[in-house]
Amino acid sequence: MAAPALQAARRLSGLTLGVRLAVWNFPGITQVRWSRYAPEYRDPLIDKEYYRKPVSELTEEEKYDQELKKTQLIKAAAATETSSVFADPVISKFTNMMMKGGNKVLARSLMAQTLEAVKRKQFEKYHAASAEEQATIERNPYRIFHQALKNCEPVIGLVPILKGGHFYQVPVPLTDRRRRFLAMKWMITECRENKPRRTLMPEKLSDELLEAFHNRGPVIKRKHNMHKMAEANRALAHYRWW
Amino acid sequence: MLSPRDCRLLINLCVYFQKAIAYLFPSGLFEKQARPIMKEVYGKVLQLEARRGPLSEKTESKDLIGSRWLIKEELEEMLVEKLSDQDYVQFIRLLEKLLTLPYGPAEEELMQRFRKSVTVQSKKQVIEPVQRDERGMAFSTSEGRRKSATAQAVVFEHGSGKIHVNGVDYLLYFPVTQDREQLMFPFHFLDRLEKHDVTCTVSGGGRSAQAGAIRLAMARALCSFITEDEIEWMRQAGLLTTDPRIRERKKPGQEGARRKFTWKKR
Repeated sequence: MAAPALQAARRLSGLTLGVRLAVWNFPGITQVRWSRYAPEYRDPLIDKEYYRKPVSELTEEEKYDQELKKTQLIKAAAATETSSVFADPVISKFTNMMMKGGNKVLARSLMAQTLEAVKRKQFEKYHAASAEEQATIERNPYRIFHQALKNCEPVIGLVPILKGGHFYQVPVPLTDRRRRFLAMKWMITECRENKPRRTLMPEKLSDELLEAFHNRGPVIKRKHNMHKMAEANRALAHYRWW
Repeated sequence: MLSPRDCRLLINLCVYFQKAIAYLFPSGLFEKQARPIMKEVYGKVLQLEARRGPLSEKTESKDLIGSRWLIKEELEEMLVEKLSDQDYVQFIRLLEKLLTLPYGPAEEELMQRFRKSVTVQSKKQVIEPVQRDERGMAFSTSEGRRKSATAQAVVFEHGSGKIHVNGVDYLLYFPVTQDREQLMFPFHFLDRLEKHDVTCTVSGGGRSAQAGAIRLAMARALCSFITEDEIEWMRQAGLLTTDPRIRERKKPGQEGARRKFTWKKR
């Protein structure tokens, strides 16, 4: 409610360098979302190539950004981020969503086993296929993972809106973040619930990822269901006021 | 009931008020152009816009980086009058608008009055001195903290990439890959993975906190052996900042820091 107004006020005060929102402008509303960092702290950027670029190759804007960054305070890097080539933000996010009870060790090992299983299956297919087919088989598990999640992202979502005492499912455009989140959530729910007994998560997840990569399977079906329902409820689209 | 004399007095009073308003506010109470505005800055903005039309070109000046606009309290102090938040925000907007227009030295001077310099380089990094031990090997020591873990790291200038934590190899002390990645992070970032030896001691906290504390200590100790540019890169990558996040306390009336007791209807 007050969040957009507060964000707008933050953006305004963010125009100025390091100026805090000195006065809390919303009486009757207490701030719950706060952080140990002061509002002037910026997020760190961990990209070796960005810093190694020679000065001659920078555009005016980039030079200005670099100069600006020298005056800004930066937060500490998270414990899950490294400058390693194997660090992938999508994989980290997915691992965190798979994690239960804070058991990051288990979640990470499951993720590693999943990627290994995907690679093994693709290699088996590769060795069993003829020469023309071999060119079309994708064996990089990271590329398969990204493509599968991208295929699972819905374009439009449904939101329950209260009108006249009833909740109507109104079709609503989704932001990029929400789409990525839904794709990952659907994938994980599917693998947890519709698993035959005695199959382990890596095996089931690798199967689902490969099916999603080829645009078939239950998660893609769920996405299409969502689109169909949105299409069916098109008449209610005017209930949306934003 | 009003007497005729009282009525006449009232009418005279109304006429008197209207004459006063007409005298003080010639364009009336509700005229838009008669509203009190920040005349100086707004006047300048209008002037410059008229001089060169409404299309604006970006002209970034390097001086802007080392300074910031005055905050509301400082502005109030300067103008010796109370400001409301909306007034202040509007004022800053006008000044930002002025920046985008082509301004001369007179306008520059006007704007400098409302700017305060800020530490141009936020790298008030304390660089540890390089010491030498009995065998003549150069090393540097530093401390780091994370949650309730404290670590002390001794980074040798020449080595082969061995890291010993509390006397044992880091492979044995940190069985989890994520912690070892964190230890290697500063070295990998500067491409100096197998060029330094590290001996560190750590106590307190959990496994992840200890890894974070050692990472900070190592990054700080490394500052003695690298160039200023590389120190700035490390700072912008977040390796030289102490993580201020600590465990939030439990509050009375709640089960935990955020979790409330189960709501019971009766």
